Amino acid sequence: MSVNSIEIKSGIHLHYLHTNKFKTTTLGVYIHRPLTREEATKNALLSTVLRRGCELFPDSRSLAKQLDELYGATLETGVRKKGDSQIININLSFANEKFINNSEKILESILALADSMILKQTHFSKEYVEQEKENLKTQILSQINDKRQYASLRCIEEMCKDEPNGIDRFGFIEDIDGISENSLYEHYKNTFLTSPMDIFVCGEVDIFWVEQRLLEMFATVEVKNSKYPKISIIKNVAEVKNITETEQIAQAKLCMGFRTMVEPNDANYPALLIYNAVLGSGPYSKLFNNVREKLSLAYYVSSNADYLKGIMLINSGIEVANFQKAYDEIIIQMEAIKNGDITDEEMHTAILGTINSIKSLTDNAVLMEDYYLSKLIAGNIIDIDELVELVSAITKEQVIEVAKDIRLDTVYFLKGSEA
Amino acid sequence: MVFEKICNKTLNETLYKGRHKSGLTIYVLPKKEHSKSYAMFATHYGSIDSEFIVPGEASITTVPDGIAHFLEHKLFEQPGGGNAFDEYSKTGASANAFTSFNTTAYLFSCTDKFYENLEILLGFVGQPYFTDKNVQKEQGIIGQEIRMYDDDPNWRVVFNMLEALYVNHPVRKDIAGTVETIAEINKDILYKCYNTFYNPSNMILFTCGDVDPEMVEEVADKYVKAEQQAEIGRFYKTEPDRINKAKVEQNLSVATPLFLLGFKDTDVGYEGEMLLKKDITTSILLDMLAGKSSEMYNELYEQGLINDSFSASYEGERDYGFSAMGGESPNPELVQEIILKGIANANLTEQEFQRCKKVQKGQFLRMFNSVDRLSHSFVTNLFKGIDLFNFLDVCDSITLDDVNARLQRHLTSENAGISIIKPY
Repeated sequence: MSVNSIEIKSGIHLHYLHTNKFKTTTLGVYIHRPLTREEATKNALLSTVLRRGCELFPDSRSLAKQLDELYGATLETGVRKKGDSQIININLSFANEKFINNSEKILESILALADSMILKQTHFSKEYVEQEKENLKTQILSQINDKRQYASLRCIEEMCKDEPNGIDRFGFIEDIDGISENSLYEHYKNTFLTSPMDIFVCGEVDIFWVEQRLLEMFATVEVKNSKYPKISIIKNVAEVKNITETEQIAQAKLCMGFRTMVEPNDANYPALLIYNAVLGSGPYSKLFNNVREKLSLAYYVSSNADYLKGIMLINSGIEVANFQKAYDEIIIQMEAIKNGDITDEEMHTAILGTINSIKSLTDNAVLMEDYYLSKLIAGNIIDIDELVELVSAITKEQVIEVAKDIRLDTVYFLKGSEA
Repeated sequence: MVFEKICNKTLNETLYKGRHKSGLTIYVLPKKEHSKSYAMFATHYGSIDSEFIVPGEASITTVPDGIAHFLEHKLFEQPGGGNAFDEYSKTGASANAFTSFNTTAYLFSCTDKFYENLEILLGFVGQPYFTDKNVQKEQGIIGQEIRMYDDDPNWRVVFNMLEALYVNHPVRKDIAGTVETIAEINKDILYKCYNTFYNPSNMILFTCGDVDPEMVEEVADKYVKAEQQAEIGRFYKTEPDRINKAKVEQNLSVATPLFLLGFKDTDVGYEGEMLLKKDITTSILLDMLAGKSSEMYNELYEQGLINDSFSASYEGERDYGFSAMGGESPNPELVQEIILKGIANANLTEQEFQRCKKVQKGQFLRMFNSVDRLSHSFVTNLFKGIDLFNFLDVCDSITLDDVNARLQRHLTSENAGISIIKPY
């Protein structure tokens, strides 16, 4: 699988992932903004206001009806955190005409909808903006509902306090009231519409026709600065932060945050993938086999590395009383890797498992788009086949080298307050 | 064994179906253009099967709640202290398992060495190894799994709704059981359940991807032994038509209340195409009433009473079924009132009906994008006697009258029970 990229105009690119394996086509539009206190809340709000109405479909209901008529096309809008960027994403997925028993022009209708909704907004209604402001407040507050994710979120917030990455992707609850329909529209016109955009199409389409259509759609759009926001990676830890918070919960959550020291474009990136697999990705990993299977301390324990920010998190759900036991065992397993305690089987397993995950990406349009989007942001497109090759060649010594640099930064513990 | 070849021209898909000499039903759905291949080895046995008659015995066996799920965890354990993951680790496959109300399934996906992985799958599921020590170890791990779900508002809201709707039926009980019930589990009970429900004639092997029927048969010949077994007697407590409680509330650490308004299905006892028809009819009905393009959804949304998290769906099995609609709301009781009023005054139009039918077809098509989702849906439906290849035809046969009849009979206020999770 590879991507075919075409420049529509400066700062606006079309990326075609050509495959006949899906019964649907996907269109993903990604707008790049630097993650800042000033903008974060506005961008999050904008992502939901856009789908409330546009010239072609003046309210949510008429838009929803149109999606239904197109054989249940789906529309998702939102914001993602990637490196030091906040990405506003608009994703549409719709049936490939050839599996529908008539000659409906679904792709054409979808592009018309996307054009009106994303690029041709003329104003924002006060009523809709006020409703979405309330929804955004709920969305920010409701992040506590999923305790596992909430622990990760809080850990990153504390760990990256002085970096863009510490900002919540939905912004700040106290900044919501200050936004009006007019200030939001101004932000849309002057900031959103002048930012670098990546458009992904995955499936089987006439890409030259799509390109022509996009040229027309984007005729009025001028990108001010076609460069993506910069990424900075922190490489020193002055002192480990320990944060303990309480909630009324049955199971305590431990989240440990580390600095990997690996830059997004670092030659060590494939070695970090293998390190993460050996340590804590899946049932073959050291964490699973020791914290869960040997010590019976947890149902889940896993590690995840964010390659665009040079950080890694280890998450687990445990009894409050087992905090020290779990913490110690996690550190012991990390030390073991550092000291070269990796068997040939473990290396082999980690490489095979990682290759399997990478190749599996190509069966999912959304994951594939996200993979290439991350690579664009990192500034270096590595095709999936190429990454498979790089990963296959990783040696135990390279994994140990990566392990030696990893530093604990923050220990976040969410515990129950009930007696 | 002979494979029956079923082609669907609209979908451009082919399904092979055959009965292995062991009694196992084998399905192969080739999807050679995908990178992943997938296999699911499933038994028609889930959390609701805690009372049964072992073939050849006379009396009913009653086992502790949560045993099907416990068995799922323990089956990975292998003689000599290893587990099935050690085997998979040599191939790089991604392996997993799950237990639902009616099904226990073991699965893997891989981008290489499919038949080796299939050997591992059929091998370990066919070879139980339970000891007092490994049972005890699992009690700690599953204890943590139960605690995790205790804190999960999206999980609790569902089970509290089932508790509201059901008086006796075991669907009201948590799939994993409780810390107390799993403490009663020992290796002898595990073997008894295993020997009863893991007979090939009670199981399905579904494979999808770059897979060849004859090669699958060859692996099955090697690992699945022929042991004919009579029908298992299954007992589910008699369930009255009435609901158990109109409301179940629980406090959890959440920001905004969460709710699920359930409607108990009292028109049960179907399987196969009849059940599929009821399933699609109800889904169209729910979409017309409460989908994103419905009047009701938009009114509630614009009043700030619901948000994007709201959804409505139906789940129908042979002997039970329920519709559920809900999400986050600052005032669930008011939403319930508006929904019940909206249902009572509903006027379903032909135009809306045709539109929502299209949505069903589109969603069905979408399922074929993923070998995982496809296999999962096929297997759970096959245990209900449903062949999903008939989906489009059955969908076409449904009329607005069918939907109206379902509305009158199913979505009544007598059938309704609400579950609410409130902040402390």
